Amino acid sequence: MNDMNKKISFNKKISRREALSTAGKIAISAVVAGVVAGVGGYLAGSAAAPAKTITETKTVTAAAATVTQTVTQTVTKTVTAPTTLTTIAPPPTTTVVTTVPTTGKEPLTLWHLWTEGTAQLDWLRTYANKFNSENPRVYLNPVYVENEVFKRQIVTAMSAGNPPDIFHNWGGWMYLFRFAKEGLVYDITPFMEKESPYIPGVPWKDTLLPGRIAQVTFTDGRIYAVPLMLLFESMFFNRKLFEKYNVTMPTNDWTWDEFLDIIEEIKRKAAGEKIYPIALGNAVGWTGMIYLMYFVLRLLGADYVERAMWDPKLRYDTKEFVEAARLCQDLVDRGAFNPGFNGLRDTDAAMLFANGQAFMEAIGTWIYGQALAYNKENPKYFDVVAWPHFKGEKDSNNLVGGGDAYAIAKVCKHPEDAVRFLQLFVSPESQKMLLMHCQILPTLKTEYLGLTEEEEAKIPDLAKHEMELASKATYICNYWDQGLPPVITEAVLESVVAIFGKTMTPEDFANKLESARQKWLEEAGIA
Amino acid sequence: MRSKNLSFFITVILPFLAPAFIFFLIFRFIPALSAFYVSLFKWDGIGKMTFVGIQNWINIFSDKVFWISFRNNIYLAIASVGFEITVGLLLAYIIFIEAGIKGKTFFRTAFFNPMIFIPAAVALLWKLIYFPVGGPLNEILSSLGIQPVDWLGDPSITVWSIILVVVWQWTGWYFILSLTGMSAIPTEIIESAIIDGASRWRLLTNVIIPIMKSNLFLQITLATTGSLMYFDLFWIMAEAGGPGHSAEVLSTWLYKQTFMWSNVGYSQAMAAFLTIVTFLVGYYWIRQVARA
Repeated sequence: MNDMNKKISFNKKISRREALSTAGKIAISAVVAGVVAGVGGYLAGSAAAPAKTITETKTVTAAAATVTQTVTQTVTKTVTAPTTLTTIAPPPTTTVVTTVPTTGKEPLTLWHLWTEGTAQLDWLRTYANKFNSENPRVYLNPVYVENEVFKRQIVTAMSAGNPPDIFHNWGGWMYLFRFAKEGLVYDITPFMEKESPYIPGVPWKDTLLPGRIAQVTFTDGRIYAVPLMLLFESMFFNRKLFEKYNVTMPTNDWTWDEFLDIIEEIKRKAAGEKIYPIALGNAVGWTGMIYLMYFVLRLLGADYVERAMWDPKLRYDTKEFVEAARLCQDLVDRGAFNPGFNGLRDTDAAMLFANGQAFMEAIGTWIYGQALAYNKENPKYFDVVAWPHFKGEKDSNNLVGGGDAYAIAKVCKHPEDAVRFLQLFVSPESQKMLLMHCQILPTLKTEYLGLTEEEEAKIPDLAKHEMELASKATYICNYWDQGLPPVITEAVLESVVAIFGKTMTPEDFANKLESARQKWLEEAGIA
Repeated sequence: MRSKNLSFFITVILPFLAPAFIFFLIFRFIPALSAFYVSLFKWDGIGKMTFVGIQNWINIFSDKVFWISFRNNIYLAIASVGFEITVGLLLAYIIFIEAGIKGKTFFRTAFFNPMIFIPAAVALLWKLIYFPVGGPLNEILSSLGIQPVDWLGDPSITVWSIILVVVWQWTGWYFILSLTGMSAIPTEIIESAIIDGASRWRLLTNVIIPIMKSNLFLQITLATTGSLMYFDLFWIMAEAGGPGHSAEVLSTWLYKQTFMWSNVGYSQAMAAFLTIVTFLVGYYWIRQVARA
């Protein structure tokens, strides 16, 4: 996904994270602008080497990354103190303080993407503390890396041979398997097959959602990461708007025709007002991709796309792929979306949906927290349904989704300790905190969570409905832009905007995808 | 005499130059040369580098998006030279020559104002102005009875919507450069021209512009090379390069190829191409500055 970290922020701190990220972008842009416009302009004319934009960007980014890391580390150290000696009162803004008795211990560096002030960071710090106080040999040192910086930095660090001991990823090819294939990731399968100390009697991997385990299992059958949470995408709707305009409410078993009827009904009943059936911000590409992914999932099965990546007998230019693109264009023709969707971002669409200017949005489980940044009232009425069903569909229950995972680098000096931390992090107690405090769906199966009745009553309806949908899924289709190799991802994201803008025919889309797959097969030596 | 000069160069000039030169060598010259080297390989950034000869160069020249991006850069350069510099010069001239204008400082500040904003903030501000659902610009248009325009979503106008913002932001920069250039002209020259009865237009075209020639050539150098390497507003306002890459520029396409699609060899060929073009354009105009 283009900006997974944004998606996972299920809590209201999103606005702050965004503010920070914007501030980061602003800082980077300012430097880039300065350097490019000033130095670049001058040097370009001089007889020696002219400015090369690529170098510019790299230099600036590296500097930004260093700064971020330094700052984060400094913060951690300021707040920390040996538990046995002194207690420092937590600063008013943070609820959890890291306590790291560093003397005589070796660090385990962990790269995470959670900004200061998010509930996820509270969660990480709580369990980092717990791990640190129990472990005599090593201590966990969490380092914040900005989302976009991470995407570049992890590749650089991996190729340079100095990655962090534990690194964030989203499963799939782009940020996990291609490193695993180069032998850069520690294989945790032996631990997965034994029981975890927190849930005796069951192999560790069987306590986690199978759909998520599949996303961190490479084709060699080895497991390379531990999924931490579940995020998935589906059709979200605003219950209050449906009631206000007296429109037929969607249900989990709705068909495609019923879905189209609802769109017509909305257009009829809200005619003349600036309220649209579906919010869409497609400039980022991955939002329109949700439609394509779900159509393909329904028509060909959830794992088809990933299977075809390794199986030369399967193809992407089938009639189902053509149909998927055609259905998207059909929705555009019906006026289902807000105007200008191809120039808007996902956040713009979230704003429309949050402000009650759209009845529905095909988006992920993070929408609740994201929408709260724009409107305090409306998100309370958000609800979720399964993707509309087709007659004769191949797959009725599976989902499109993913979420954060942590993997251990091969160069890590204490892999057993790192595994122990990950076991703690997905233990029932920790996953309960994820659900209750961060309001993010756990990766641990619900039966192992050990929720009391009281706790269950506290879970909001939206989250319950989400868990209901998730419990039916046996396979979760990883986002194409994370699960597939860059050459295919590029073809997909390049096409999405064109499909919705109707500058590309459905047939061209299928052919483009297939030729990208052919290129990949050739690269990987499969064909 | 000659050997004395040489020893002076070695003992005095060179040690003073060395730090800057070494810095320049490491961060500018070597990366630029390495782009040419990497452009001969197929490389994803982490795996093995495979030698492919000039295949990457053939690929960029047969890539439609590359040409769209290059075209957009040229549009931007034309808009910069044709509009930013011209308007900046005229505004500066009015402020310079009209003694009667009240609040000169205010206008100077106002014209330069867009320049002090960070490009990212400018991009976000203009994205709000262009917002298709209830955005101010479209509201004004529809109140005048004009059909709303999809400023950033319509492939045929996205690039112009962004160029408009660039022009809005950078005109003030060339305005200030022209104004400083004019202020450096000795008053006697201007006064004698006025006494000789030169009109304002003739004063500008026959006296001020010829005197300011090197200043203007410098502005053109900055504008053209800057346009070729421009990144910020295009990146933020048209994140995915705009619909169908209609608002892609070379630097955004290069960035995507490197960091998103891991086609490092390909992108380095593009970087090397950009280096050559910027070098040639910059060299030509710097020569003009030197001659003027």
